[in-house]
Amino acid sequence: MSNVNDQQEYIEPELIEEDSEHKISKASDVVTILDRFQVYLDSPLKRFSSLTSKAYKAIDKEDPSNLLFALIPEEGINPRINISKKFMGKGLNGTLKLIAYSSEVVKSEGRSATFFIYKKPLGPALADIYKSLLPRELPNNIIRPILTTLRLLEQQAISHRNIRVNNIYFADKEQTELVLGDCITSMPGASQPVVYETIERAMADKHGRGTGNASDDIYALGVMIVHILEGAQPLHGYSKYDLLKMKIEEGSYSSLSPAQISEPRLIDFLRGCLSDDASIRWTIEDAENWVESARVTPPQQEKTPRPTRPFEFNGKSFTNTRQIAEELGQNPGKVQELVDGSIYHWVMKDLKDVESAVMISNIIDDPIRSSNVFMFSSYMCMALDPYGPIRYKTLNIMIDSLGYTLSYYVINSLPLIDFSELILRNIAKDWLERQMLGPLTTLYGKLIQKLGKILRDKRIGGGIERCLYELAPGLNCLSPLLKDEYVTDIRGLLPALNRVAPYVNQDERPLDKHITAFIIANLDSKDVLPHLESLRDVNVSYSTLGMLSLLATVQWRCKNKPVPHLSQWLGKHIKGAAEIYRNVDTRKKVLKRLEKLLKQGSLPDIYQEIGDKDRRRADDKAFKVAEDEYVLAMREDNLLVDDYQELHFHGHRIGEQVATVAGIIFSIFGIIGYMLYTLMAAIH
Amino acid sequence: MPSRKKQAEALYKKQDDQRNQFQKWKKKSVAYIFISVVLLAFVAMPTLIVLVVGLFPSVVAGLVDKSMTRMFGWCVTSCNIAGVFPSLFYLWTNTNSIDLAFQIVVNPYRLIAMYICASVGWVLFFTIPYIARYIVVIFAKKRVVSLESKRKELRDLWGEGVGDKFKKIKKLEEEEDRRYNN
Repeated sequence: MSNVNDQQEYIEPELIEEDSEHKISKASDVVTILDRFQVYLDSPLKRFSSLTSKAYKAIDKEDPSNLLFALIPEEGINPRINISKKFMGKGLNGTLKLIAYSSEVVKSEGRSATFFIYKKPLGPALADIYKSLLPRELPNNIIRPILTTLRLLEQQAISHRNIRVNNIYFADKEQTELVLGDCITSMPGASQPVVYETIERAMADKHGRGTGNASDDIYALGVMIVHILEGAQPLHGYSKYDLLKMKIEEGSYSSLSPAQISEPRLIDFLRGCLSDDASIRWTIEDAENWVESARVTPPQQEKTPRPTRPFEFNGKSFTNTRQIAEELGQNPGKVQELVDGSIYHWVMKDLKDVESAVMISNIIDDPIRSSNVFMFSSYMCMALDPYGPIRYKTLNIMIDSLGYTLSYYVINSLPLIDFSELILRNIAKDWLERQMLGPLTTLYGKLIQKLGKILRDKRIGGGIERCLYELAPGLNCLSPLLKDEYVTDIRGLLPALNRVAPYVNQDERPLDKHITAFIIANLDSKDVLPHLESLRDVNVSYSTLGMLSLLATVQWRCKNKPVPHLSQWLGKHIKGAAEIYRNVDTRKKVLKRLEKLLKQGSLPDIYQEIGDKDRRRADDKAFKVAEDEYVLAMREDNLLVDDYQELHFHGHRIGEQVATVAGIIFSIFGIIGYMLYTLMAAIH
Repeated sequence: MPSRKKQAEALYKKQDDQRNQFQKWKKKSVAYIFISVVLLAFVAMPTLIVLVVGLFPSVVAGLVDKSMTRMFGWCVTSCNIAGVFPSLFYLWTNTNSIDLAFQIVVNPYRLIAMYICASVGWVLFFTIPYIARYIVVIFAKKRVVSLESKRKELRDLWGEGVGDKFKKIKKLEEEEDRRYNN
């Protein structure tokens, strides 16, 4: 579980680097993206960098006057590729313009990564000038444009989750147009200092803070305004534990807001934005109304009840259940100590929280939930902090971060069993039932059900790999076969396989669990599921044919160019698959034609040749006839060879019948002959 | 496909039915012959005398018939009739009296002619089956060679897998036989 001290998260503003002067770079330090943009890895731009991504100088070869910079996510970070397209082209007003993105190799780091090319803002970052801002200027000059942008993002169903003073810029030198900085190159909220996150999301691990919604952005906006008013990051220097303790016990507004606010109308805004109860926190509309008229009543938040005595657990004193849950989540093995320490009585008598006490009691009495220490601990955390993150073993995550968490675990080679158990042991489902997420509850419920089904299916195209690509669209394919490639788009899969084909062990199949899952998650299920069934066939020939048909579907759907190296690789496996044709002559003809097609590299043509349904049907039909003929021949042969005695009897019986007929004929001829003889004698 | 047990039961039933039918038919034949003899005794006594003496070998053949098809009697009778017919014709075209009938049955030439014809039937019935048996075996051997060649042709065209169905059926039948025998 992440235990990062978040004090160093705040990056002090840097001076704006001059773009005009640039030292001569080594060839290895220059990466060319899409044959157009040159990224200078020896020229970092610290003011655009964050905890999870590094910024570098970039130049547009076609238009050098176009001022750009490149952002590259740190290793092990999964960017939000799925929303990146919405920021491209005309983009969204009020955000940095994303010019292009593409995957390339970072030679100096020996890895592949996605490069995001942004248009560089001409003005300074808000972090550079906020100390000179007057409080009365904030509603119109800072809050209003940010709300307008947040409204646009909300319409696109995007939460920014990266609002802070050093990620907001002025797009022009005159400092009239404010734009939100990057929110794509890291997992949602992962770059944010803990103070900028709501209590629930701050308690989660960085990769597990979740996509959230506009409400989380409003909260971050509120914290940012406090940051501007105070002239420094609020509660700077506090540990995560102390910061959360203050927020939980005092409430975010009370613990963060400055003692003196020279602009009284900002008090209402901060109270509305910094409410810890998401259901009463201001919406964008509330905040907009406040900017326009300042006649919006801020919510009144109930204070957390104070216990009559603190609860001692794991050597620390606690005065609220949420932090006990946080401590227990980090030390699940100590759950028995918690029960022995009479947590039930403390919650019931000292906190007077009957509802939580009953939940704790139910969990203690439940033989299934209390049978396993990790499950027991997880359910106790749920009872103590129902709206906190899901805590199970190494996981400490929000429900809307499942994809990012899983990808983070896979990319960083962390144990995946925890994630599987989270779903299969119904922990995520039970956590969800305690939430009040409205329509999202059904949505996530269905998602968890689907994940459970996929996880139980251990065959190729199922399992944790499929979950990974279903949950994290835009994640690069993590197949070992593609370790030197960085395939984030299904259209790039076959060209990448074609490139690696000459260098891999061709005895291995080109489809492993990762590539199969990647294809299924990225193509329409109606297109791929029939091929998946063939791929899973126990008969190797049919399975190989399924592999070919799946890859052919990808080539056809993505309109990929021919892939001769890949088809040669496939050829080694397909030749065996030709055995689905029983007729030796047909098989030879198919193989002969395949030799030619394999060199051309069109997988649909190859599939059409080997998997032609009419030909297969005719072959099967003829084979059944041949089988029946063989059975009949064998039966007759057995009859003739094994029942030799019967054969003699049979001959004898025929002989007797023939002899009888011969006797009758003899008699008839004898009588007729005698009659004729007598007649002739009478005539003469 | 019916099971081996049912096939065997059907075969035994068929054989039993055939045996019963034959017994019934035999009893009926004896009855008809007896009635014919009685009728002939009243209507055509001379003819009856010639027939009784002339068809004696047929009666004997019918009584000792242990052949597979029970056709020995028929074969001998049909040839025997050819030998008796000239004597009957002679009887009917002359006085057709009992005296003439006795003259015919004591005439050694006529008796020899009747019995030689009967013996031709006897010879036919004992030689032809052996020849037929030989021919059938020769044809069977040729058929075995032809079947083997056909199977090889099928194997060459469809691979060894073409025989899998027969192996499966054989295995199933063996298992069924084992169960049936147990």
